[in-house]
Amino acid sequence: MADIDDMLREALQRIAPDADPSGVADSIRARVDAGDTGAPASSSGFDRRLRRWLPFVGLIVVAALIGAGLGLSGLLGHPVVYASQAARSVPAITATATAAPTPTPSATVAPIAPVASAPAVRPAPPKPKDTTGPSLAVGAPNPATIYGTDAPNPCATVTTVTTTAHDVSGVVAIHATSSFPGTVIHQSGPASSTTFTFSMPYTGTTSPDLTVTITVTASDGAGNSTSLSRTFTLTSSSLCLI
Amino acid sequence: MSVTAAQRVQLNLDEFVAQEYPKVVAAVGLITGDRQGAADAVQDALVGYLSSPPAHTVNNLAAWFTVVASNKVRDQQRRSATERRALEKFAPASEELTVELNVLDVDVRSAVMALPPAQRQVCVLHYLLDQSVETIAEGLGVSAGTIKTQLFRARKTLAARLGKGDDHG
Repeated sequence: MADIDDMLREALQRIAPDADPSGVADSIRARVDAGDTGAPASSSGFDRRLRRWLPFVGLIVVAALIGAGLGLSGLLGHPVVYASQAARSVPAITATATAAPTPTPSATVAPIAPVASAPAVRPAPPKPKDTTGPSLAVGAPNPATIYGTDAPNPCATVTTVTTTAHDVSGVVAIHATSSFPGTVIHQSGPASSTTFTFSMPYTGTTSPDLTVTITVTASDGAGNSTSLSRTFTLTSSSLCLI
Repeated sequence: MSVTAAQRVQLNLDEFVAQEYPKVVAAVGLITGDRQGAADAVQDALVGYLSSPPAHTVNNLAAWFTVVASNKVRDQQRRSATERRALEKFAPASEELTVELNVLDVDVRSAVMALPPAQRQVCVLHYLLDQSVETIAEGLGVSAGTIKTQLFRARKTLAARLGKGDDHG
């Protein structure tokens, strides 16, 4: 019986004849010159085997990363320490060496001070929506009694009101109104600190004293507003007339 | 790729095509059962090698190209489900009609084609390309023991199918 190795070797040589190499080298060069990339070298057997394992290796790596992350969070994460535990002091430890013949040293370890627990870092809660108007302060009209613009000195013809306003969303506008028709209102300063001046086209010679109401309204960036009113007197007193 | 490297590869290309290419195509054709696909795949592998050479050193180009081209043909066969048609075409027709085959050769070819792909590949590398066990192992990135085992099983199967005694037992 013929040796199977020799038989296989001879049979395979017959049934798989050599290919014709003519023109192959030139054809390959032409393809390379044309930018053809052909079959990637990663098609080798080894790489294919490695590729089969890659998903499993990836899963193992991901699981390891998750485990490491959990472990680190356990190690580095700040434990919650209750106040009663934190305040508990550690008792003093006293040790006495009894070795002879040297004089007996006595060492006392000071009690360990309780470690103040750092506040646990927690994510900041979402900012509540601003639903309140600005905090508004309106000063008293100064002077509290004036004459109209047509009145001669020495009486004042203009009264001044100062206002301050604050809001977490920012004060975006402030304005004032007057109950007296035709009041001329001047405004100066930023919305957070504004000065209003009021003057009236009023002679005061024929009319009784009038109480004028001014209203200051401040608005914030969230659309809320606050209003405050003050009053002053528009006098008809003849003392102010020359 | 530097000019020097390109020149070196081109010089090796001529040498490889003249000496190794015919056998490699024959081996890939026998492994895959697709002779025409084998020639295309080997040429594709050569183009790929020249375009972007593998990072590692390839000590045995014949074995390396055989494996790469065989894998490529098999991938294509899987994708297009042409393996069955290729095997059917194997018996008569094709260019190999010009080769006079005796009954034993036909039996050997059928028996080799019936081997599992890994055993068939090792068998062809060993018997057709005269690759040693160590060289095949290096080319496939497996241990020599694995190749020995596959060769042993292939030989045993072939001997049983061909009615020959396996002296290597």
